[in-house]
Amino acid sequence: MSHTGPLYLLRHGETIWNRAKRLQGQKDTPLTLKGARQAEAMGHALARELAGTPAAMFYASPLGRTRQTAAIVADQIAHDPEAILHDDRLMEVTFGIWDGLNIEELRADHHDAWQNRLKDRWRFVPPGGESYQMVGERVGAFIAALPAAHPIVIVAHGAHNRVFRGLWRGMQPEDFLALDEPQDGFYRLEAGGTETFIQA
Amino acid sequence: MTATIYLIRHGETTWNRIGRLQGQADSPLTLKGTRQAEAVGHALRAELAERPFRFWSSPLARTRQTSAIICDVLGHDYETITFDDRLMEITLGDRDGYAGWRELARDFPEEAEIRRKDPWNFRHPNGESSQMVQDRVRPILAEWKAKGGVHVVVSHGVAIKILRGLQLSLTEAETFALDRPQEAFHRLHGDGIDVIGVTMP
Repeated sequence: MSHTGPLYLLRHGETIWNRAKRLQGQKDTPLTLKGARQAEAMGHALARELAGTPAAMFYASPLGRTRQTAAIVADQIAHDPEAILHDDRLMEVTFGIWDGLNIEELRADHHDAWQNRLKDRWRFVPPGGESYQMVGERVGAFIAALPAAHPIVIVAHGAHNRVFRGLWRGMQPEDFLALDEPQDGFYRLEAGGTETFIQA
Repeated sequence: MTATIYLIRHGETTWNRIGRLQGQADSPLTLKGTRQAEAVGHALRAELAERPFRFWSSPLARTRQTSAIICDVLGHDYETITFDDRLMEITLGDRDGYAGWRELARDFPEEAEIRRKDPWNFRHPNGESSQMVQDRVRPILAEWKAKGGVHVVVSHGVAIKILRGLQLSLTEAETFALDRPQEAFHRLHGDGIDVIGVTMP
């Protein structure tokens, strides 16, 4: 990847549907009380990490849960929330008609499609949705177009951030999907495809 | 059966803080707004004292965010909330999201003049008048009273002022003069209204 970092990659805090084990995709629910506290804690840790250096750019996915998280984080690092840039390429992978379904229901009610998905998780396209590969294309385009400015703060999503980190680290696509999706901390990405977890 | 209705405004948003007009456009809660929602939840939990209630909310993002936090403090299931469009904020139509009242008066002086003469019936282009908001919230207030019991309602500054105006049979001017607190909420019971203060952390 061309950008040298540091780049801080955060996921939104816990939402109502995260807690209920429902796939959100590009549908949306608000943060829980725990999720709001996670956002506050991540913002606090980010402020400590930046140590007064202003964020050169602050990007967020335009979905509700990332807007909500980004506003809380921005307040902690004294960044004007009106200056947050919302970019559609930072949105979560959409599972199409599966967005909003409970994961157990999905496995039971769409058993064959789910089995097909497990055969090739990278290229599988859910009905009306996106494959991880398709997400990789839009995330790759976003990274390639990043300005040389630093530090950069990005608030996005679980699956999205796995793809982002996999691309940054130059991993094999199949290995991207084994990465974690923490909500109690975030990653600092730096030159040479390295990353460091920052605990909130 | 007598109804008790708790009217709660959403917490501070990023646009509230800079005076930008929201209407039915939206901005997220600030850190302060998030803490206000939590504080309202704690005061409400003490107030409810385990009584059963129904939870109503405007479907806009800032009220959903506020409702989710209050639900968690109350131990109430967010998925059982009734989202009712009649509880949405007054819309300024084409002017939703405008920078502020001063900018509106500067950029649209003719509209500001019409508004000054009859604020209650004034509509921004494609927007709603206060009268139109009153017409949509009046039936829901009557519904809560007819049902009886306890109703927790999360809504907006202007919509709540108009509900309070109806409850107290206020004039238009008196309704406009009401406040829009985010660190207090209102309890409607019988013909009266009480203010319940909130302790911020």
